[in-house]
Amino acid sequence: MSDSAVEHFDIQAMLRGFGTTWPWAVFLYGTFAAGNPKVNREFLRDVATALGRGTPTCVSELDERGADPDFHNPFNVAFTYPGLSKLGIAPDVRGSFAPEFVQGMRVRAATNSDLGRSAPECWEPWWRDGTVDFWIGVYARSSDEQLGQRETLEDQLQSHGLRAAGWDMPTVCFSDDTEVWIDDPERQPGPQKALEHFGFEDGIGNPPVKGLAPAGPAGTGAGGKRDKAGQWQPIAAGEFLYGHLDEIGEIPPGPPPGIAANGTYMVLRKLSQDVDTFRAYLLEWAEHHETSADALAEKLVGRQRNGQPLVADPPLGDRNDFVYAGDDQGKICPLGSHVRRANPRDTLNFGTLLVDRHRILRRGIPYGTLVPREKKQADVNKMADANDGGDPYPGQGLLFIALNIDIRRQFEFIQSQWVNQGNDLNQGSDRDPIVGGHRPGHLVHNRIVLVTDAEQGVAVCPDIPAFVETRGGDYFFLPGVRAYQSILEGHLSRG
Amino acid sequence: MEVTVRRFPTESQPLTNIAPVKRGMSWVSWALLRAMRSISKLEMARQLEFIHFARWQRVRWRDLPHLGPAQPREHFKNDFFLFATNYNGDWDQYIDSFARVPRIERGMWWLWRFSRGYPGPLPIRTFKDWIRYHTYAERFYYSAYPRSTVRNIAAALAVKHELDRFVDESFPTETTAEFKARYLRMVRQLAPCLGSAPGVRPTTAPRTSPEEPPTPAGAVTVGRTPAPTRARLLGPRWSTAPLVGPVLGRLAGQGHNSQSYLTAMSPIEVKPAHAVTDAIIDFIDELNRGRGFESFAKCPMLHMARILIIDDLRPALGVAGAGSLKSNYLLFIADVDGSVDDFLDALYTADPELVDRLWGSCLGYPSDRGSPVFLRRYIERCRLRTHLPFAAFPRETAREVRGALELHANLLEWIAWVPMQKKKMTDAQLKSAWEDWVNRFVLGGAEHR
Repeated sequence: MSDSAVEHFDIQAMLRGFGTTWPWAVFLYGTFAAGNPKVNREFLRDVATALGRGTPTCVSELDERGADPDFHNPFNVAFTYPGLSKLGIAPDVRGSFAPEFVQGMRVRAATNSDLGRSAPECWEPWWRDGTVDFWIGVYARSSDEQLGQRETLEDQLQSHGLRAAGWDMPTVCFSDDTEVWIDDPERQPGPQKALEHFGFEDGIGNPPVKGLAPAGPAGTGAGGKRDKAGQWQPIAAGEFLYGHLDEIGEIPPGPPPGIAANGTYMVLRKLSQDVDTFRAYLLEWAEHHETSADALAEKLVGRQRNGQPLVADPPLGDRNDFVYAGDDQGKICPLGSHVRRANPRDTLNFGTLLVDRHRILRRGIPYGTLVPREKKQADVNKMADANDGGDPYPGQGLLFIALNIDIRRQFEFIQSQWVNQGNDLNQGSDRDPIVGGHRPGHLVHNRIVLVTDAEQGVAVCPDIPAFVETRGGDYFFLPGVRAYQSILEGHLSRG
Repeated sequence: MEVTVRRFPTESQPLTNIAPVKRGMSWVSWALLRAMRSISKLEMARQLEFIHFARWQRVRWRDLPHLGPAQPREHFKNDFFLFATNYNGDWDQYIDSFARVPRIERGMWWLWRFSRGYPGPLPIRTFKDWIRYHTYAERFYYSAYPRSTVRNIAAALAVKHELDRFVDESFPTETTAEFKARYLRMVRQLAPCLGSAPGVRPTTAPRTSPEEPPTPAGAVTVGRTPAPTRARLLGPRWSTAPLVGPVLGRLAGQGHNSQSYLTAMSPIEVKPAHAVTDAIIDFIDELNRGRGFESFAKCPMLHMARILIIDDLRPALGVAGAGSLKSNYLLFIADVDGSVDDFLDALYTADPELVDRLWGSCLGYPSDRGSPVFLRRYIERCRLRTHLPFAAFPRETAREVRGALELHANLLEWIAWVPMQKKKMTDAQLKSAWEDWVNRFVLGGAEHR
């Protein structure tokens, strides 16, 4: 495998992921000035200068300098479709973007099951009203750095007469000080684990990308695709980057290379997590099924809290080196569990062939503070309120970020066919027990049937409430670094 | 020219593709279909588990119906290859899988290799462009089980099979302990099929109290083997080949059905006239507003049906000028149990006005409509032969499928309810509640039969 085909200096660092080295971040959702692309482009230039950088941080820069203590403020930038218009991008170029991106996530609400309390009308105002033109994500090593970055961004907005539509101040939650188990202390994930708010290590199942990242710790490509010999192989770069061959050996159609090369689409979703309800539900149904709430939680998620898969104890310490062969009925890892739905691996017929074209790179980061096991969310959030004295405390949740080249074929497909529909995995019309939304024409109440070896044969968890709700988000275009420079220099604008 | 892929409010979606066959290759294409019919069980289509029915037909231009002197004879340089299918889920996923899975890719290559301009399954972009170009838009689509996917049906049939056995194996002197052991064995057997089932009717409201057992929402017969359908097979037919490697390994020994495949291409009017065609299109819109579904639902042997208006047959991609039809046609495609004639009789009995308004103004429609036999004769004259059919469940009648789906939905509610009572219910109570439930279900069924 050669890395030379993928130009690491031209790809924004999100493709690699900032990881736990940069556990704090500032997400600015901004509105550009209407009818004045020049001011907007100047603003972007000046933001980079104020952060002490020239261009958005690229993969090679992060790889080479990420560990350097003098390296600060790595940042990435992405645009919504209206944002590209306000940067003056010529209509012919704009018109060549994928229709889903042009429509934006609000219009795609039904496809994504953003209905009921997750519907766009209930989103945060800037997402609800569609006033977000661009996203700037600046990553930090400490919370002080994070606050400084926000001040810098606020100053820049003010001096250019622009405004922030909204902000998020996400942070990676580490397991160290907080007990997140419910009734089985053995299930507490080890130290230094990056957790999401339900107490599971997150961000494990990303596929290795050909030419972008080393393929698994032992070069196994684990978690990618299976070749004919049953070996792991990385997923083609063209599934995640414009200008590269995809899984089927084609260059995906898209905008002209001047703007598209080494760019990709970024799906950003703010997902709130109802930790109290999650724990209460598990306690109630664990008692019914005479198991521990933590064991039941792991069944619903499909991994252990420490990230180990349920079906195997993979060798080489690679937690992606496993398949579901031998667990056809889901007795070990339920067919309807969250991770098995999001990436069924070899569960469908024909190896991973029916899965490989529906993969995404997840680069999300949580927001809010972990809720210790004996506390309620309100207790934690009140404390945080008192300490901050600033913005109203955001609660607990995840800023879900997915990178993919075809939103419809990748992110939306997973969301509509695997997460919010159970058919492909023989789960009838049951939805994902963790992140499933409502689906028109189907039962409001969700459930999961766990197949067990016990005498009863099945354990049904009925009436699963929505533990996760959508608070907003949009579809962004994350350009390559050279394309970004072309945008700022006005090369892609009319006149 | 590109057809927008329309989504119908059903779980399955139709796809109708008509492509010209290379000149001189028509008979090869026909021979290939015949050969595949005798040697292939189309296992690959079965394994995909998202195709309900599919058919491949070689259509000779001289097979296009000529129903009287008023209609000019059609003449083409090419024959045609008709592929009508349906699928669950996403169009792109469906087409992707043709190209992704080597065995299916090879199958597709053989089936279409005699079609003019067929680019092969890769690159997939040109393959999809080619399929889109030769796809004709359905104006109406009916499914006897609109809320169900192939996997739903497979699960429902497996459930029905197990429940039949369970009821058959019960005996009067069975102790509660014996009953419970048998019950748990059945549940274990069915464990992989218990995802929420959509059923056939709108889903019943959730129960208000967990103590209250679920009420059966519908009724089907359990524990009795249905009498074999006596099918009168006339015209093009397909006798069901025995299933090798039954779907999900669970369906062996079920059903005794034979299905028939109707493709009727009725000339509407000679071009350029369009008034009658427009009137039929208006009527099809009326069918879409509800009437069509009600009338077709009265034909218990009907699985799926679709209606298209064909006002031209596209030449090969990139070939100009060729292949213009002299008349507009109404293409009616249906998958039915038993014979097509029985279906036509049932349709005419259910809604004679529908039949008259759909076909009544078409060329060659008989003026003497004294007995329903006229419809059989008329459709027979418009009929095109099906050369290679596929059905996911060739042995089950539409009625059996619907019954199994309803049973599945109801049994799920019951099985989900029982563990919730675990602490409160004795074995004797379980047995008695079960008997009560089964009795209500079977008795309820008697009312509906």
